[in-house]
Amino acid sequence: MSAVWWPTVRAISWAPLAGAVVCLLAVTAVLSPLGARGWPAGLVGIGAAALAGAQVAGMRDPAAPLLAAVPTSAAVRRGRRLVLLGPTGLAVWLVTAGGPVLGLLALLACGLATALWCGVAAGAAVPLAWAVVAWSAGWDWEVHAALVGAAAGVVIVLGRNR
Amino acid sequence: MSAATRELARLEGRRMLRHPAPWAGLALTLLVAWDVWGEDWSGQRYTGLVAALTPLLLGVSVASVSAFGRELVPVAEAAPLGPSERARARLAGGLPLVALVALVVAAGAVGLRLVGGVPLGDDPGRTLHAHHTPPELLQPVLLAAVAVVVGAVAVRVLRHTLAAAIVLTVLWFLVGGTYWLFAGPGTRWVAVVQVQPFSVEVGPIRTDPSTFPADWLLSAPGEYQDHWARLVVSPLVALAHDAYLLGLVLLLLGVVLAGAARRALLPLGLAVAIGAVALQHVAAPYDDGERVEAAAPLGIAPDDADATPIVVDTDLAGDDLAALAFLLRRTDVRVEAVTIAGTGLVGCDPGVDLVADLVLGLGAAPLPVACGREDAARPWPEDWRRFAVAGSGMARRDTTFTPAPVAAPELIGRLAARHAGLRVVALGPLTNLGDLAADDPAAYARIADITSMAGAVEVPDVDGVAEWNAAADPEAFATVLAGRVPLTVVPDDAIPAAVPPVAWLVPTYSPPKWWDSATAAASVEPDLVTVERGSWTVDGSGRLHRDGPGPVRVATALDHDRLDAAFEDALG
Repeated sequence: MSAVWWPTVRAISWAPLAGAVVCLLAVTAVLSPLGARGWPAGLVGIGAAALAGAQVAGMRDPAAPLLAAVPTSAAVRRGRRLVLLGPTGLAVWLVTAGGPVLGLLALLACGLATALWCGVAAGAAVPLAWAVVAWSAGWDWEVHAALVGAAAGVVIVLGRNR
Repeated sequence: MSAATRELARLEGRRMLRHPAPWAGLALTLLVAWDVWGEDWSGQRYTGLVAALTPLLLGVSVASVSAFGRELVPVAEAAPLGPSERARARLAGGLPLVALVALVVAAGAVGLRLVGGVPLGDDPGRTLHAHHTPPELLQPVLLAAVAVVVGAVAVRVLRHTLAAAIVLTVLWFLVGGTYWLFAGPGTRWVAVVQVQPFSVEVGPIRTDPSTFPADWLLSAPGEYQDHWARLVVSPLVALAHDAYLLGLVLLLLGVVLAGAARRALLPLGLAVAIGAVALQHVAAPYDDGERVEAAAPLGIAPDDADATPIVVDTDLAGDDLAALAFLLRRTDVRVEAVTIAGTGLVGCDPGVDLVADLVLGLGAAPLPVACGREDAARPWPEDWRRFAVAGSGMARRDTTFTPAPVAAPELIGRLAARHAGLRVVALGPLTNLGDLAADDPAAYARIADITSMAGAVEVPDVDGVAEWNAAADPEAFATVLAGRVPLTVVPDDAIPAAVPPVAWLVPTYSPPKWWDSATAAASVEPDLVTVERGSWTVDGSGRLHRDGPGPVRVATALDHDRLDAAFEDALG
């Protein structure tokens, strides 16, 4: 078991997720003494996007070309990273902002789908860009989250071994 | 700075200017500004335009992250410029982006001048031509400098460009997108984005705003504010905040640069920032000696010698409070007592408190207050009740105001015996009058007349209720309708759907109609009422049915203009 997971843990770039987690904890710590009841609505989307972007950024695998010849497929290696990054991010999200989960998952799915087809940097940027645009335009950042997540899921399945 | 460093700075400057993030940020800033321009909430444009710069500032930070991210790629030790020179060059390369922000701010300021400014304040202290002061306009430029340096610091600390961009996104939207979180007295001086004007409390909710100096910008009481406030834009505080941002820039530069520069910049930045915070605190508008005492209460004029004695039977919703204030201010009527319909909206104990708050707030002498039974046939919606009790907007007073030791029906009966010609203005369910009629018909018969807001004739039901005062105790209403005391009923149909001139008395209350205020005015100005006489019955939903000819007067219309004139005459 450790032969599978420990190398994955070491291979993941944890800095983005650590940065996002510190930010989310800091925001919660700042809001609490100010008497805010929960996160301000405008900040929830930004926080979710930061977390989703950080999880996608953790998928970056500089050794991917070297590992292309090994029997473990790219999809399996990515899946293992996701198993480690996903629940960690979700737990932090629930502890700090307290949800919504569906919106976070939709942003994560969009980021992953983009990362598979356009690279990790673009994948990490997509959730952030969407949240910033939604904030600026006054849109609901998690509009049709289930539909968007499902569509992104299809794109992920299609590009799972890219 | 050597020629080589200057050349590298020029290169970095060009690369930063070509970076898409600041331009995307600028586009989003314009989008937010466009959106803010459509807001008509007082002060929203003035404050929102500052917050609109958040995407642009984030874009500047991301460009800086991109430039300093190149530090993460190893460079040969024999490179012509060392790490310190390269850092200086990259910082200098951020100056064109600072200039870009300055240009945007200048264009915005000129645009505001051309359109004549933005609205700020609430009537009667309001301007349509507010402009940001020069120190306020300087703030975004200094924020752009902060954005450049904080991008460098994020890369240095996190050693990962994506992580740095993610962290800065959260931070900029925390300090800029939710700037109002840091507008409290304890945080406004250390807030990165400071948005003026400051709100300085100048009077309780019932203050007549026309008593404030004419040149004050005012913020009216509302959902989030239980007092009148003066809006103050302080250029001195803005200037001190600019100095604070300068201190932050120096402090962050001290983190980015090494050697002697760091040793000099860190203490200097810290000293400037602390000094600027202290200066803001000293220059704070609530500390400048201009704080005013609360304006005088409305006051109560002495009643005429031949004033008509009345009892106000009420359930203390917001329009009841305005009605009671109106009747207390009339010199031609003398309010002998307030009786509370326990089956009404707020119930007995909160009702006594509300009467005390209103009467003492107006500067009137305490009145006898009594309460009746509380078993309503139809319970009022709990959220209505909660809002009526907690959302009156009046300050809770420490008072010895205690209810009379008799029940409301008995008090009305005693007063009817003591004062010939006693009139009753009933603004809630008719439980107290119904009980008096049933328990002591002789005492009830001594009442000169009753004016009641209850029932509806043709307005449609809402959730099975035609009108709540009637539906809360239809049996009592039926008793009063069938009684021998002259009765004028003002049903929901007759009440005009307009905000009366008494609305400022209860600014937290915004009903579709001011039922009880209108009824109170109709009770003392009978000429403004058009009535249909008849014999009327009421059903369980509170709907009135005319059965044939009879003595009960049911209002079909109230003269809107004369109603307003009556309010203005009494309350100014």
